[in-house]
Amino acid sequence: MQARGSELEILSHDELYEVHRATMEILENVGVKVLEQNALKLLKDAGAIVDEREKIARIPEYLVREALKKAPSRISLYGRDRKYKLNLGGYRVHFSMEGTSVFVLDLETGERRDSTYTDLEHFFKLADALENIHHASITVKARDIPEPIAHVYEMYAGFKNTTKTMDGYTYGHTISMDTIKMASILAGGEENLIKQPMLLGFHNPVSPLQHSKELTEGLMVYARYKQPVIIAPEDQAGATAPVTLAGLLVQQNAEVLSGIVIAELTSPGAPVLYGTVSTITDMKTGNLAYGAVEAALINVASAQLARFYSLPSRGTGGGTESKIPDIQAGIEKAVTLMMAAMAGINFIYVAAGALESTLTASYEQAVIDNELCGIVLRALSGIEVNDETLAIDVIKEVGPGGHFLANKHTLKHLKTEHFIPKIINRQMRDIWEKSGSKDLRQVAREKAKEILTKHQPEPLETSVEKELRAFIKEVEERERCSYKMF
Amino acid sequence: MVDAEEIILNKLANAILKYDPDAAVEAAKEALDSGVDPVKAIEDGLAKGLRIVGERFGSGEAFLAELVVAAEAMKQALKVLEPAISKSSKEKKTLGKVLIGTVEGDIHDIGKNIVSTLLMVTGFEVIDLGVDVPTQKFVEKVKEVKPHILALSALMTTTMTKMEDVIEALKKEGLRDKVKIIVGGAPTSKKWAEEIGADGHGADAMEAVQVVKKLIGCL
Repeated sequence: MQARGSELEILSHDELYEVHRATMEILENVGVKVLEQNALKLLKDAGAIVDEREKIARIPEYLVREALKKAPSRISLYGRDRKYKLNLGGYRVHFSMEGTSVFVLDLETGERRDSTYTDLEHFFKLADALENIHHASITVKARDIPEPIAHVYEMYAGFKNTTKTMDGYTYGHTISMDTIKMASILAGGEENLIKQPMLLGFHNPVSPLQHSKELTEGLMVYARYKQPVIIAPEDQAGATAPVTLAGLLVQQNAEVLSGIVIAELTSPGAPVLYGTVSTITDMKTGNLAYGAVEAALINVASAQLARFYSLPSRGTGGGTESKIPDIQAGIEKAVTLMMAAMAGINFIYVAAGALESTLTASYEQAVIDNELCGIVLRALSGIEVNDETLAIDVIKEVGPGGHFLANKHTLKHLKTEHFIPKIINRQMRDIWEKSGSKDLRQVAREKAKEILTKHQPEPLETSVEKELRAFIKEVEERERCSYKMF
Repeated sequence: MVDAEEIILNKLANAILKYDPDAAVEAAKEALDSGVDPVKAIEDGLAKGLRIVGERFGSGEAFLAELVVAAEAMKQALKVLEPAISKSSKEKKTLGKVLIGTVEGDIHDIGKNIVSTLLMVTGFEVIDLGVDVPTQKFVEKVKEVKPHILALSALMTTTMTKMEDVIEALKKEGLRDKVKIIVGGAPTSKKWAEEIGADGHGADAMEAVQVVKKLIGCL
């Protein structure tokens, strides 16, 4: 499951350099607000000009260059099953499930409701089964669990229901350390976890130009344990960033690079991804527009900027503002996913299951998006040209007026040359009508139900499961609340 | 024949309608120089223009940025006019007083700012406490400014629970019945508002204004 993006580029090398130059001017003269005291001190000690009262760090270019020298250009992330390994860097492309939605479209009623722990287990199971999804994220929040202990249950749900790579949790020092401890149990000790990281952290600078206390704490914990962290601001062109996309890229770049400086000062060699969740604000409503074509353009430029700095990249494809799996969702997802993938974004978050600006996750949408991911992966592999594929001998053999259906060459290559759809319908109308005239959403819903009934993820080792549960108990006692699952 | 006062009132309204803060300030100065009653200049000039912009935004005709600039133009013109209002007529006509802020631990403010602007445009007096506002500060401010409405914003599931804390803290102080509370922000919902005992929920800025109007009883 390794795919390589094509070299879709929209900025010239000179333009990338212009963005870099403008970014350095912003970092040196405006600076960033850092609400975590230790990070601010690290920046000051390293040579940044720090305004203690305003918590602003003005970062000179040499600090950025030193940090970039320390940051690795390729990162590995391991799943519980070692065959699931993400190799992030270069033009390699990976797809992930939607992350941390707070609502789901109920699979039975189709109504939107609060997401629960059971939903989260189901989405992990789905991610485990969907063949074009490389990474299983915390697709929905377990909102029926008290907030102080939700994170340990959410991690547990993932460890239990998938062997693919998965998200960590980087909101504050304590929560981040809890996830490190849980992953260490799974990895067979802290040392193993550091050598072969299993958690993917998220640091989202708050635009414009701010690093929150909680996420910076998380960034620093993960940096010390060498778990990769995505540094991805959500600049909104016209509201929290300049309305012009070039200006947005400058501000985003300043936010990402300052985050990388913090990570590399905390722990040299800390694995970080150049990330973006940026898009435009819809100027009529003031709402986000993840499915906007501008988001796709920002992804292409961000992939280029990541390579400009020799860093692995994270982007967003498959976002939509639609509330249900409909034609709007299809348009927005196809455009943003295809462009992000063609640009060679290494890790495409939100690729499957997202609706309503990522507020809502949908089972049937995840199945539909899995198909779209398959189509995009096929597009990425392009057209191979060699003696075998040019098929001169085959054309000679069949000659004018014959057909290729019975040819050995056809049998040999059909499964790799063509994408074989799982749910896209190519039947003639009569046949389609006989099988119930189902639209794609209906077919996907049935497929999702089938997976949830039949798919059995590889169970955890008994001793590991016991240890994880014991740790959850510990956290419940510490936080003085429980979910009473065990 | 149109009289001089009417020309100036039109200038004030038009400056807002053209999203032009400089023109609004100029017109405000002209109003004072010509002896137009500053309260009248605000109500029949600036506010009239702003109401139209609010309606344009509501119907999808105006853009968010235009609305925000119009509100900014009004603010700047008010700085010129307000000092000239005599003590006796200082009671500005507003639809009510709204205290607004983003809860503790959350530094997201763009959504809250849009709601603030829209409320102001509609004719409410808005006191904005900013972001990452400690629970106790909300309580103190409710005591101090006695708002009709307290509006709480949160963007994260990790911080939305603070809304509940604010409501509980107000109960403890015996202030809960003195103020109507509305909540908003991406992860919130009507159901959430009911669960934590808030009085209303705004799914977006336009709805927030409708809910505030309804709660105050001016709809």
